[in-house]
Amino acid sequence: MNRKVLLIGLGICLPVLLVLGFGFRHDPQIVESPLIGQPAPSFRLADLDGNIVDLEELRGTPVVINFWATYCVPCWVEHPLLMEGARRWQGDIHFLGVIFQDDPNLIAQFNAENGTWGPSLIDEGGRVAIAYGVYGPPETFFIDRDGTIVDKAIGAVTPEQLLDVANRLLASPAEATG
Amino acid sequence: MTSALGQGFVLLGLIAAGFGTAFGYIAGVRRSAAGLRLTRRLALLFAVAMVGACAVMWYALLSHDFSVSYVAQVGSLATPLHITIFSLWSSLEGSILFWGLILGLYIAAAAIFQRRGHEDYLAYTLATLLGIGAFFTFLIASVADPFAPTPPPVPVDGPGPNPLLQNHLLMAVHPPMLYLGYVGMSVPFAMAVAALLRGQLGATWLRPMRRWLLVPTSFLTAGIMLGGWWSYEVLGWGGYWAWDPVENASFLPWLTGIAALHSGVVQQRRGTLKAWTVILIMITFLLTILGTFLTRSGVVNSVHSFTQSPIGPVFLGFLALCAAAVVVLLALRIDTLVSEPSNERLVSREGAFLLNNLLFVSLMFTVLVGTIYPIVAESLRGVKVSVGEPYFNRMAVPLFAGLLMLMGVGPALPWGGSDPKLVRRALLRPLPAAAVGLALALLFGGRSAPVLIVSAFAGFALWVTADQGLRPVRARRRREGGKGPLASLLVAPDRLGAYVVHFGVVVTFVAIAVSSTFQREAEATLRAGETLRLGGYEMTFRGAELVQEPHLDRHQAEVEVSSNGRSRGVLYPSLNIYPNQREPIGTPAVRTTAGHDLYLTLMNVGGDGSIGLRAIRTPLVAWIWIGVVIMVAGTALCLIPTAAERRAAAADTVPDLAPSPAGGGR
Amino acid sequence: MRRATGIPAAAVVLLGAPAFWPASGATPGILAALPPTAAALAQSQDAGPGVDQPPAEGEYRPGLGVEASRELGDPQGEPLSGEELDRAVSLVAADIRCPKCQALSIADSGASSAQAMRAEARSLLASGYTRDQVVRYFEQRYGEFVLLEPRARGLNLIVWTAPAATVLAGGLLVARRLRRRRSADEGLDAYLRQVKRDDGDDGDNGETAT
Repeated sequence: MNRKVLLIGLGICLPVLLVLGFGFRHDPQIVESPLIGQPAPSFRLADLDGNIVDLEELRGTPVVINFWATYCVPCWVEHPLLMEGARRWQGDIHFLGVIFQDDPNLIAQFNAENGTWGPSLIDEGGRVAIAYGVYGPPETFFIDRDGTIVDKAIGAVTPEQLLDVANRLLASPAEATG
Repeated sequence: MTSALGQGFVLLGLIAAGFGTAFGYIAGVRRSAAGLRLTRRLALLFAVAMVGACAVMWYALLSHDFSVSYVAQVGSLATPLHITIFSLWSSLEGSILFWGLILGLYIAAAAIFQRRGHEDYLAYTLATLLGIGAFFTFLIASVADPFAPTPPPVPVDGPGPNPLLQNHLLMAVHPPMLYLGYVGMSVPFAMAVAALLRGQLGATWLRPMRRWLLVPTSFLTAGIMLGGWWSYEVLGWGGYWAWDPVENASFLPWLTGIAALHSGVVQQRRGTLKAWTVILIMITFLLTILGTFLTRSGVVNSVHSFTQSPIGPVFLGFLALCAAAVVVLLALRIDTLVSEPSNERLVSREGAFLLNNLLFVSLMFTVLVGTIYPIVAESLRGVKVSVGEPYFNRMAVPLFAGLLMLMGVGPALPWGGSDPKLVRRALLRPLPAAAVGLALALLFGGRSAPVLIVSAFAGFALWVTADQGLRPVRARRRREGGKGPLASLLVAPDRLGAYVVHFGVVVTFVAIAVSSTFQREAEATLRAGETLRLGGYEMTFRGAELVQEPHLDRHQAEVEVSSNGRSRGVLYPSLNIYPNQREPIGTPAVRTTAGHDLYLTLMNVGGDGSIGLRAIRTPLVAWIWIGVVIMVAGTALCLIPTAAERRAAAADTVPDLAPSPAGGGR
Repeated sequence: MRRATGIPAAAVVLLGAPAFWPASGATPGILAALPPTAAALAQSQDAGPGVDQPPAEGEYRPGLGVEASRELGDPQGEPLSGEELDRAVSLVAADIRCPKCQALSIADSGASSAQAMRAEARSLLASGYTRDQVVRYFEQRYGEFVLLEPRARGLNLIVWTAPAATVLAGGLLVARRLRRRRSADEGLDAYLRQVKRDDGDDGDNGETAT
């Protein structure tokens, strides 16, 4: 029995195997956003009709920002839920849609056929998506009354998730503004 | 019906492999000729079962039998015939079935070609190979069953294979080449296991082992090159190697395989490094399993990953089992492989081989750490990080430069290297060639250190390679004056082949260095009639059209290319749109010349008829592929039996190939 | 292009399935063959007719979008332009991973989000932000994941030291092996004779092998 070979072999193989085993605990597609807990990047964007939305002016009310596109299947999936949410928390939570790398005409057509849950904002050059570090649609950011990003959903939002975050957003009292 | 037939073949394979493993080891321990005969038959039966299973799958694919789940997953009535044939390996389950086929063929080949003269090793070898076969057939029969019946209702049509794989015919050859490389590493591994179990590794076994290592290494070389070429021709980013985790995974066993080939030379000549060669072969095998795991488990972010599936944990288990078996076997038996006492100098042929192994293994380790580090970071820090091209280039380039230098210096140095005068002369003679290389680089505008260093080393290595490769011709003329130059080269085709490979490596190295340094690109939005200029080329956009084909729609831009006022033809970069796929897939158009490539990609097609066009001019790209072809040709030469072997074969004896009295370990 | 705008049956099938979006490699994501849109027209106007240069990235409609200065603070470098700007952009772009792609940098990728990130880098560099500031901007948004070269600190030092450590450790092994030679000097005479003979027939090891 050659102990040296045994020890060196185990010393190299075991860590590698352990690391690979740990790999199963993570989904390589999902990257945690470093922006959670940070102030939401402010922006001014025009919607399809040319109305300007300024995030700054919405301070005091929680905001849900959803980056979406017509080509993204999970976006279709979450559409009815967002409709429902926007209706339910009308006036209490603002729902904003930001178009992610898609054609405004297609968005308009989609909205006409399926209804809207908030303004569809045109993000020219994708700058807002970059400021929010969006990897791909849909991604949803939840912003509290103070303008802090409290959570982020990657992929279609689930009802449980929306309900949970909305309750948190509504529970937190406004500090300075109101 | 088809499902049941396919599953039947797989089950047959599993049974043959299972029993074959058991009988093989027993026959090995008892040195039983009857047991070996039985094992050989089971090995052939395993191969037949795998061929049968694949034939059934091909039949199901071609007859669009959507009641077979794999066909429902990758088949489509609109898919052209040839793509339907290749779709056997376009998705997870099919690729593992295909893997089984190749393993079956390798096992049959080992059982047939190694049957004479190696009885005492062969039983262990076949047993080990069939053990691996048992694992793969188990996979096919359980978690990755391509023959599973489609749950009703059976669809009338399927989605077709991944469009990226449909886009280019290279996809037909790249995966089989890689599999031939990956799977083939099982054979030298099994032979090394046999040597350990036997407790001896003589020249008689070393020689075929090196050969069986050479074959998959060369398939791997070709497979990696074809993958790069495919990436270049299809993915449209103008490069061929992105240090993607799965590219790295195919690179790892290639590095250690080559290291083992080189340490085998020392073993053959000097009888040293015996245990080390065996260890390298075992590492190589483990790395092929690791690579397969990385590709198929979805633990790394990669172009090639198949989606997450239960196969990952099973594969990891297999990897762990193999690693444990290898470590324990090495610990128990490595001391039985007695090497000749080592007696090397740094500045000698042996010293160069040692450094060569050091660099190859370091390179492997670097790439391995970089590839799996993201998982480490995520597990321990909870943060996703990337380790990508800038890192790998920074780390690998110096190591490759070192290898290029050794490729020049090593073969120039005499074995033993004890005579300083001889050493000095050997190293001084190629210097003018290095100077020529340097001068050429300067002449063509090379200013960066890597290019200049590579050019000088390449000049040196080219001279040494030619000098050494042609040495038999001169030696022959001097001594006998009889034989023609070609005949004298073919006395030792393995030696000639090795230098041909080295020549190909120099060509590829230089082409990579130059192409990555002198790449230039331009990008513009063009309307019909507008022109983009780059590096002497004028590219005029003439118009775009939508071509409808049965299985895809294609936007095709017509771009007229001219330089120096002369027309250089028309290129058609295109964007393919597949039904059921969101993102269009670009197909670049490439104009290849000996000096450089002009590479056009269509970025987008605007509604107003304008296009986004990206043009990349890269020098010497074609020589990367040419260099690899030379390498593969050189490997083929190495496989031709030497004169000694041919004589031995004629006399039906086993040749003793070790020239030194230290050679045999028997 | 077959783009469904309604919610087709497929979406229902996928309902409840884990989120996915086809993370294809270097596929240029585009608005192909669509009627001209406000954005597309604005872009092509920006580019101007008969351009031989890339379209002037980084010119955005004033007043809309995000204000970089609020996110980044003040520029710490000189505004760049022309070739200097091009060089700076490609240097930054080569180090930033395209978020949608696999292993490709935003310099190499043709994906639309990579193009957008290149444009953002160009705009920031043009207004005087340093290379380091721009890289940090992307890192703050997307996380360390977008750095193709991990920062050399903390645990990441594993990656940075492993190659040198391997070469050193291996080098030590080789050195020890070579040193053993001296202790084996007694056998040297026989060895030298052997070496001489081998050098003689170096040219045809196959022949001597019988």
